[in-house]
Amino acid sequence: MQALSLGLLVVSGGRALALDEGLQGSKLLGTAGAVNIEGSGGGGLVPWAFIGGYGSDDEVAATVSASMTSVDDFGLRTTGLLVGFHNRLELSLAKQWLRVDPLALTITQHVVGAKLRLSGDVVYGTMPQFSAGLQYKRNTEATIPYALGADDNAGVDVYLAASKVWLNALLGRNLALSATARYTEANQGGLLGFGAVGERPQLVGEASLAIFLNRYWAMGVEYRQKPDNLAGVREHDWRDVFIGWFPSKSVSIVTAYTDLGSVAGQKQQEGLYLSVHLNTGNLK
Amino acid sequence: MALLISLSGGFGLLGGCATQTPIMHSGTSASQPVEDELFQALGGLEGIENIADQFLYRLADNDKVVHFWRNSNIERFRTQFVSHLCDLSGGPCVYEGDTMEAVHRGMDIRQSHFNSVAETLVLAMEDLHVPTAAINGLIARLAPLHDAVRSQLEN
Repeated sequence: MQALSLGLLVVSGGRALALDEGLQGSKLLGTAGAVNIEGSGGGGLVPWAFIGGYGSDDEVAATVSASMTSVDDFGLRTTGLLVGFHNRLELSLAKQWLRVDPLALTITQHVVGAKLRLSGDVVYGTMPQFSAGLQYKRNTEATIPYALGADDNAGVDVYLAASKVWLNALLGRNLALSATARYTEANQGGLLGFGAVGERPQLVGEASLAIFLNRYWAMGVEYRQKPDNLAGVREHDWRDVFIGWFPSKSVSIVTAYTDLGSVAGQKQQEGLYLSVHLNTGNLK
Repeated sequence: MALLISLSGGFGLLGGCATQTPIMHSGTSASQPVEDELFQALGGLEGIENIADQFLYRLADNDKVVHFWRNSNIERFRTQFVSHLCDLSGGPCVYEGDTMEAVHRGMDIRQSHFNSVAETLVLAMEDLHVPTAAINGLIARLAPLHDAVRSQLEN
């Protein structure tokens, strides 16, 4: 049922946002990337240095996104709104709902994000694009995080990301590589709270690799290292294999097979991820 | 099409404004088989001429950037554009038009304009069923011109 309504959203959204070439954002198709589960422009799991939306250096553009991840004992739904200003600044809002099947309850979290492009460009020049970002997260269901030993129900992740698209890099195909260093104390991205007694924030590494098969299709892999703060419940790194479809600048869909490892004592959480992005044209 | 005909004399975003015609070498393609590969994949000189024509048709409808050609001599632009693409793709031409800096001086070209023109060229090649690898190959050789084309503010 959720898949059906997502499908309808895509069709109606795609039509509503079908724009004349002149009104579209000017970034090249696919180079707006996707939106990660925390609402930042990136892949599915990892924020990239890309500024979200199709707005180029003298444009402003927004992206609305929705995703769902269904693994063995959990379901995560997210919605997000981001606005990219002049390919320089990205501001984002996201809400996450984690359905915990064994306990029949839902944990919700709000994420407010900001990302600033520091230097370089994703497509042009030899240097990668470097961006610095932060994500302020507030978990509104603190009972479970505290019960598991978390210190806090809110926290801030700070990250530095480097991304580059190499044109004609491999067998005549374009390649995108992104690496992110994140300073965080979030447990399972904050859904299980922040920190724990005796634990300090840590620096973790994240990376994505994508190959564009043509202008409309990309596939790739992602890896996201995580802290392991909570004594009672092991936390593993996240990874996924994804396929992205960019039929137009108005809409894109990413689907992935994702492996979240152990989550809140439930082992081997694997399953499907699906996200839909609707992009505006130039709003300026 | 009417718009294209109304354009005359001046600048072009990717081509030059000098009046030389492409210089054709003889026998270079046989001695440079590897560099020549992209040129062949684009359909040789005839393929590149078709790409240039399709690009100009699409450009006429691209409201974001078409004004940069308002005072251009389109015939001359086409000649220089073909010469430039032929040269960049490893074909038997030498682009002898003005530098990208000189051509775009005073035009205040933003990245959004560069992207938009690149996209119009990609769409033109897709119209003509140019293989993905050849499209990517040509765009990869045009992308390094970005810094020279962009924001040449001084006249």
